This record gives sequence, structure tokens and C-alpha cells, in this order.
Amino acid sequence: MRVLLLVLGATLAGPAMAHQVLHEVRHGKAVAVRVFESDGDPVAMAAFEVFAPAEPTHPWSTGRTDGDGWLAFVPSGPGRWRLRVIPADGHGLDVEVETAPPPAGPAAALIAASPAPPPPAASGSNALLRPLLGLAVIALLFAALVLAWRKKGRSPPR
Amino acid sequence: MHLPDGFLSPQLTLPALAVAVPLAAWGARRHFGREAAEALPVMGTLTALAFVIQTIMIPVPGGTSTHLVGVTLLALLFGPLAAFVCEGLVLLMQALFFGAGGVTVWGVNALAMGLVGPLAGWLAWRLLRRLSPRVALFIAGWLSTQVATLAVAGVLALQHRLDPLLFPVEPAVTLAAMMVPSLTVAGVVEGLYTVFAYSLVRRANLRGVPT
Repeated sequence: MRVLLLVLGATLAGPAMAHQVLHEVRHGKAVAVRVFESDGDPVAMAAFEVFAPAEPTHPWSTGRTDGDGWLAFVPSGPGRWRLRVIPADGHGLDVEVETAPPPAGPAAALIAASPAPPPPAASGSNALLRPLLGLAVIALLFAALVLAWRKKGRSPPR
Repeated sequence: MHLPDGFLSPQLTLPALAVAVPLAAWGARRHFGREAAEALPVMGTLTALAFVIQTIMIPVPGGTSTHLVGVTLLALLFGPLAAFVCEGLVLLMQALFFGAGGVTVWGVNALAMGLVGPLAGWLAWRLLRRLSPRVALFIAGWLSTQVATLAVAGVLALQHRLDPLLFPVEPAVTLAAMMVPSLTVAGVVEGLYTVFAYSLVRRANLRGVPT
């Protein structure tokens, strides 16, 4: 009888364990990426694909960005992970994200506890410098053309 | 509106580059030669203006945003081919300095936003300007945006058909996501910008602008 009860217990526990979905919470392991437009608006609810360094053709992870434009994945190791964000209008992103091996021990806890840095593209000087550079190049090109034609004899009126 | 690198396969980007690069070279020879020296300062200023207004995002109800193109104005003043060269330059600057758009997709973006759209706007303006100049200008700007957006959506749909792994979004979803902001906001603002800027340039009676 005791043997029968043991067998019954074992057979019930087996399938019960097999059907259970378990989870564990680990802090400081995932890579979180925020995707946003140049004006700071989040690219929300957009499809994304993550490709592992060793497997560039099949996505390691797929999903959608959240309402604030965040996405996250858990890399299996360090390397350059390719990330594609594909909004329905095609105005998306195809970049590589460098992942480093996670620091062990107290350092990991410190990183998990530290506040997130501000988004890089939101910094004012960078946002102003790049359009100015583009404008300068356009102005230079046209000015060079005007000067070149002026030098060749048929000067444009001042 | 413009596409980034990594969403289109070489089957689409290479033919587009093969068409756009020689066309831009021909356009540059034709519209930026010695004869155009008088027009170059105005063209340069309007190209710079197009570059700036393409960086200004206009919010669209529903959480997304769009931007003006501003090249129809150049097409109406100097011709569609000149507008194509100017927009090609703007797109190249955006790809290099902003990472907006891309270098491999430059041909597709330039043909859609710099040629097909402004050409449609220019044709509409030529047809309608005798009826009502202001309405013709507005329709030119509005139509230019719709045609350019439709062209980009068409390329994305074609990419989905060629290789859904590269662009997995269904064409109907892409079309709706692109055309709704374009029809309701971007086209209207582009139309108003074209009316305002064209009238301003004409009133200023600038040297080098063809009459």
C-alpha cells in the first residue's frame, strides 16, 4: 500500500510539474533600449527584432516596444547584438547594441539600483549642432558653386 | 516619411540608386551650371530651408508625428529636376548628420520625395494655376506629399512581397499608417507652406528666380 501511494504521488507530481510555468526574477541582466523620435516622442507599440551575434539571420527575440518606446531583451552573452525596430510606417531603426558581460556581486546590485541616465539624443547641444552642421555644408556647397562660376567669368550680380 | 537603412533589400535599393545617381548628375549639370549662377543663392537658401523644416516634427493625433518636405516650392520655381537634386542633397545631409534616412536607401528616398512627389505637384500646379493660383499652389503641395508617401508605401509593400523577413508589416497596415497622417496633417501643412512661401518669394521679386 505504501509503495502504491508513493507511485501515485510520483505520477501525479510529474505531470503537474511539467505543466507548470515557472519564473525567476533577475535584476541587472536585461538590456533595455528606449526608441524615440528626434523630438523626443516615443516610438510606441512598434515591432522589434533582436539578432544574436552568432545568428544574424534568425531573430533571437521579437516583440513590441511599450507605450514609452522601451524594449528589453536578455542577451545570452556579450557581443554586438543587432536590433531592428519596425514601425508600420517604415520610419524605423536598424542598429547594433554592444552588450558587455554583467558585473558580478555588489557592482551588479549598484547598477540595478542606480537611476537610468537621460536619453542621449535629448541633449541640447547635440540636437542643435547637427542641424547647424548640415546647414553649413549646404551653404558651403552653394557658395562654392557661386564662387566657381564667378571665377570663371560670368559673375552673378551682387 | 523617408526610409532608414536595413529595411530594403539590394533588389530595390540598387536599381533605385542606378536611376537616381545619373539623374541627379544630369540635373546638376542642367540646373546648377554657369547659366544658373544668379539663381544659386535662392536655390541654396530654399534647400537649406527644406533641410530645416524636414527636421521639425509635427504632432499627429494618435501619438505619432510627421514632417514637411518643402521641396514642391523648388519644383514650382525652378523645375522638378532642380528640386530632385536639392532634395537629394538634403537627404544625404540628413543621413550623414542625423542618421535619418540612409545611404543605401538614398535612391529610393530621393526618387520618392524629390522627384515623383514634386513632379506630381508641379503637374497639378501647371494644370490648375489659371483657374485659381492659390488653390493650385495648395493642391500642388498637398498632392506632392500624397504621391511621395504613396511611393514610399508602395516600395515597402513591394519589399514585403519580396522578403517579408526584411519588412514584416502587412502592406495594408503600412498604407494606413502612412497615408492617414499624410492625408490629414502633412499634406495640408505642406499645401499651406507652399502657398505662403511661393507668394513670399514672388513678392520679394528675387533675382535669379524664373518668372
